Amino acid sequence: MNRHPHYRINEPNVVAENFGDEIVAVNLDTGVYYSMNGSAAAIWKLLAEGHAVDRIATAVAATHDIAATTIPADVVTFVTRLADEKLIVEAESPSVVPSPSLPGGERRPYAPPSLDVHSDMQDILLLDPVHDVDEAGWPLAIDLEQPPRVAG
Amino acid sequence: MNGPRATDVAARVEAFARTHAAAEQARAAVGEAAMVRTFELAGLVVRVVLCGQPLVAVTIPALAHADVSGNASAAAADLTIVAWDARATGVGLPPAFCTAAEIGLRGEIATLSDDRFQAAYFTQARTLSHYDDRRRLALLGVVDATRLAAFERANPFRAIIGWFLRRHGRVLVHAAAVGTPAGAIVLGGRSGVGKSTTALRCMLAGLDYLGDDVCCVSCDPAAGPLVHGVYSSAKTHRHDWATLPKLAAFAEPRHHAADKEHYFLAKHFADRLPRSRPIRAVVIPDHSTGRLGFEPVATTEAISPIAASTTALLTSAGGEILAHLGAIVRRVPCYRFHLGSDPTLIPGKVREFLAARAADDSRRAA
Repeated sequence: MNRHPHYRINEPNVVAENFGDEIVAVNLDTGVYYSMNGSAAAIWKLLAEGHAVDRIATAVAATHDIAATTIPADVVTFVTRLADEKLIVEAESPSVVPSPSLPGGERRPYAPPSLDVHSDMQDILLLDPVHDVDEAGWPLAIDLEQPPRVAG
Repeated sequence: MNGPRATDVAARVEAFARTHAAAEQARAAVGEAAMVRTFELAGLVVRVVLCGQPLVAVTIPALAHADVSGNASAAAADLTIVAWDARATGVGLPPAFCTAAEIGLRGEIATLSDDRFQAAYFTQARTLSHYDDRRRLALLGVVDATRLAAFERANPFRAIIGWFLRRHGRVLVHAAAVGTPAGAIVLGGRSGVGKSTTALRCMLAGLDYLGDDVCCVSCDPAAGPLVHGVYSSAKTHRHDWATLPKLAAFAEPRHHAADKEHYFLAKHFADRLPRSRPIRAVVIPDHSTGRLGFEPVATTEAISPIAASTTALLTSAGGEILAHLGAIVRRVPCYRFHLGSDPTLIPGKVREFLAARAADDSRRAA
């Protein structure tokens, strides 16, 4: 097993956008969405650039104001969480990955990376089970008298 | 990304041809009774051909504010939609192209969708939407329009319109929008946060209304961020009449026990339904604090619920929703709108806020 694996964003099942220092990611398979900021957003950006986990830890340590000894474990824990949520998947090691781009200036205060999870859209996506098909072969919902559950 | 295999392309062409054949058969069945209407949506011209009388009542009212059928601009359509009601015309949907397992959570049929075609089947509504971007042609087959729920009647053709607008640099989003000639606020947030009631309260007080649930946004380099009113419908719970008693007089008949109350505003408030307005702010309503006023918030706090609910609700919506919203909030600020304890004060606060925001934007541009 690769000790320092690479990951990629789990596209197209996952879409994400960088809003300044914050990241919003949506898992289209589940309807769950996530927000990340601070060190979590920094890790996400470095993962998206194709860097291995050990290099990400080094980059985070170089830009934050904390003893570097705690950061590698934090990064591994966070990356594992992202993989558990299927936001990222393990990838082949890219042939060429440039050094992580590190912002200049003073080191920023460090807080362990965290993933804010929002699952309030899930019940909208959980449609009634299909149990039959009509004469043309199109699926039928169990109760046609029930309108779709939608946001309002 | 790998392109589709040749056999996949052939299957998609064949599937669209089958839906098209059914639509044309229905059109022939109704002959001159087919109703043709032309709408201007987000600056684009959409011609709709309705085959089967029941479709008229479930599609036209929510789009009535954008009806340009009598205008010269109606001549050249950017998209033609042919819709048919299977029960009324006697022409059923084409044989299924896919299994139930191949239909996505939002109705999309991924195996029939690519850069040219899009397809979706809504199991509850029993509607098949099919879109061919190259031919500027879309098809909608409805098993029985008389059984469509309020949500479908309030947002007709939403899959097709969503695909079409995206091809033209605009996106449908799950949000409300209200404004004045000075501009509009886009109201996001999770279900139940107060988007619809806030939008309707403002509309009843004389403000412009651009949607309570689904509207269109664009970020043209010259015009800047704009919000476009696509549907002039609205929905509320009946208990909302307690604080919005005027609404009761405008409610449409309900067709399902679980339907919300719904309204078609073009019949009653045509002068409050502009086609588009500049976006002055993205706003999240909050009725939890008792305070009244606008408070700046972090971008993600305002955007993430809009982005997530849009991608969850709208067929085939994906990363472009986030990209569009990102482009907009780089140009306009985000706020939390504390709704206060006296809802009658909300419209005045919105007017005041929009006037101040428009003045700020003018100063910056000068």
